[in-house]
Amino acid sequence: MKLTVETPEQMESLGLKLSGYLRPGDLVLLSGELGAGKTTLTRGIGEGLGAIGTIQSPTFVLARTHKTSGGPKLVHVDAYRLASALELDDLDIDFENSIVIVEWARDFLDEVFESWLLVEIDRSDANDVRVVEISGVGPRWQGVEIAVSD
Amino acid sequence: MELKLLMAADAAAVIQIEQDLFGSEAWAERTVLSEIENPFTHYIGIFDGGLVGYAGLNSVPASFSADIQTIAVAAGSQGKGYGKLLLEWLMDTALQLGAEQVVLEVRADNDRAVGLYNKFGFEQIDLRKRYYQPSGVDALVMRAKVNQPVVLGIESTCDETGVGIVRGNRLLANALHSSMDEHAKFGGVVPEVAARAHLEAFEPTLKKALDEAGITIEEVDAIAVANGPGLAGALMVGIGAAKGLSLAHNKPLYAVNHLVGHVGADVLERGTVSLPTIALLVSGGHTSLLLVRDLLEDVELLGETIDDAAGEAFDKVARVLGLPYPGGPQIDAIAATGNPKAVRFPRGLSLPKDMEKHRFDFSFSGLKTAVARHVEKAEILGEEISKPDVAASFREAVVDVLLTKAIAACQMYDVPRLLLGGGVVANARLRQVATERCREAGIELRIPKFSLCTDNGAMIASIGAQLVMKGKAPSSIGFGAESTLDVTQVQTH
Amino acid sequence: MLLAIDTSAGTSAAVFRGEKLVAFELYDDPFGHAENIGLAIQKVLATAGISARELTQLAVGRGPAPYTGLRVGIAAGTSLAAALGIRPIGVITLDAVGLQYATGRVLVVADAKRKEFFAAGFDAGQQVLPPSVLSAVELAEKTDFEHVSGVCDARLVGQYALHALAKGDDLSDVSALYLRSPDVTPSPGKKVTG
Repeated sequence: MKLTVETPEQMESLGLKLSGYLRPGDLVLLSGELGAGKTTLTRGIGEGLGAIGTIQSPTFVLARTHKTSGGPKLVHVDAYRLASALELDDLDIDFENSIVIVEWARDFLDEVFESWLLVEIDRSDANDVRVVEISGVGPRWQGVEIAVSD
Repeated sequence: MELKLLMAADAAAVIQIEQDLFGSEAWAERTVLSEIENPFTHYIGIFDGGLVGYAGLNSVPASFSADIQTIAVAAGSQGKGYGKLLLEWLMDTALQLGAEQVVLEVRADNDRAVGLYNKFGFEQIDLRKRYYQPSGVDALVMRAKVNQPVVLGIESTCDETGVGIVRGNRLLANALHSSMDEHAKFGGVVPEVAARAHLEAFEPTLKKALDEAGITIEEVDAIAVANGPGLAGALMVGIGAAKGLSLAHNKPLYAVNHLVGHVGADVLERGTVSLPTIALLVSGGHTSLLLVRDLLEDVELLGETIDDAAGEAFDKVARVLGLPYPGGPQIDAIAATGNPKAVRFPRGLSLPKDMEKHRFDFSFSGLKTAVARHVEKAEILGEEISKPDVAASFREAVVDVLLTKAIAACQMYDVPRLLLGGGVVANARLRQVATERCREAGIELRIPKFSLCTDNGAMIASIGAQLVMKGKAPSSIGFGAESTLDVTQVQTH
Repeated sequence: MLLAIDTSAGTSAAVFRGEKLVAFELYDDPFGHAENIGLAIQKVLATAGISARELTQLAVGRGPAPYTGLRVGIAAGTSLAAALGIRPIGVITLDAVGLQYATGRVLVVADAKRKEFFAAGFDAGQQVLPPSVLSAVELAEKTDFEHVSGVCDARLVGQYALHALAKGDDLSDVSALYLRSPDVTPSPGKKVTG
């Protein structure tokens, strides 16, 4: 599904709504240019899940794990500095028991996972409006309808 | 009966005892007051239905030395062990202040006092003839050594593997291995992932630290390890290593907060950290503003980044400008010939509407996007842009927002001290503007040397040492890695 | 006295007096290595009634195994050894399991995630197929072996260490066995679009 997002607040709010669809074992891939709003969206997801600790860009640290209030862990990954699936492996994330969000997701993730929710954020509009496209890939998302309207 | 720090209001009671005990050699009222109020002295009083005894210590942090200014017990309260109590407090305070020796003068004819000092390890080192006037009695100068704990600290929160060793507040060793060095390499089997590098780097770094300090692991009194915040996989290597070292010779182990470690770094340069202080920590992984009233008990997070860390913004903007890694030095290099006022880039979270929820928070994402847009627009229009100007203007925006908020915090909390920490401190423009603005605002600026600012093991050791000096119990051995941690938790377990 | 440490699956430690196992502690949690490593070592030393200083040998499991956990055991073991002035010994976990099968041809198989498997082949305890990463298809092709579980622990690591040392094998390599080697090519320029 495609929708437009005009402000950072709306992006966060979208994340909040999306969080309702996520379960332990889920993987969300965020794709978009520098400054598209990936971390902002993650902040909204984190809020929805009751994540503890400020959601910050994990570019440097590679991955940040947040406990959530009575729920699965939220692992926020930034693959910007990772060169291969190997390095993602090396992070040894507890995928089964966590909700994992990966920014700067890349081709090598195909080798590793079966299902994911792909969120592509396009900020090519001159007016700072983002176009967000959400699509579920793989068996997990078969028949799941994400109803997060503008 | 209670022990309490002396206040100006206690001066009158002190003078009374002074006159009773010392007559013509008693301290003048003026002296008593200035002693009590001196920030470098520490005066304690024993109260038992009024003041019955007092003692004072003067510390000289940079020289790792402290002087006992006086110990006095009122005539009617002697023989109750108050002298010993006061001396214990003085020695304990000297330990906590990082002193390696305590010096005092005592009347040569005061056998009882000399006997007490001997019991506490004081030995005569000098004689001052006819020192006390008008009686003409000699003074013995005595000195006792203070056994400062030797602490080994381990840092593996992100890219750096650090092992540092301190003795109290004194730096003995700071060994560092950075996997960043590997990053620019081409060819060969290079462990690109931080955690692998940590495992390989730990032992050589440990050895380097022990060699530098000239000690063996048995001589270490305690181990400290940063168990967060940071990358879990990397942290786990440090934690595993710390536990191994701890179990070998049953050394107490302390799990500490990496971020507070950056404040601890300052102790190693000056022998003390002046408190309270605002601390601005800026690195690739962190941008945080702290209010530190007590290094171990009272650290408050005033604000932090809600998206990118400042160091990260440098790296990303460097990419936008087509510059190679690492971003900070690259941007600095080309900004040298650029005009910082060429482009007014946004200072994140600085608008009136941000002040309520985000007064001391930072956001560099909008700045990063603005630079990207600026470059894109020029490309679309086929215009030439001056990279030096863009770099300089970007850098200016970062420095501006960091320091504006830091100084605003100093002013709002009435704390005239600013400490900088973290790798971005390497940025000369940040240091330059910090120096200028702090001078204008009447704020004392402290920037430890670079090797202590960047992630390192010595700063972790320093926090560990403070914990040992304060008599804090070590952590239980079952702690793990915590990739996110509150700054209010200094000893995390 | 030998202390064996392994964090290739759960977290475990074992103490051997001569050839005899005198203490063993295992924590199953596949994600609690950093938390449990200290406890495991402390417990086996206490059960064996010795202080760490009385150890004369130290063996660590080198994997292959999930990385972060594996590194905890190696880090703890090599640091402990360094502090005691002992040279640590490294044991490949597949070998340790393989040794347990005195007869027959076995393929010791451990989960390598990504639908792949770590495997090594043994004939009467001797390695005949070196450790490698196999796909499910390649694994199925190895019909001339009996496939057995490669889950290892400190007991097996210790037993293998004693056995190999008696034979005079060189076990001085204590590095983690990753098997999937990192890319040799330099990091490609990261795209600004992600």
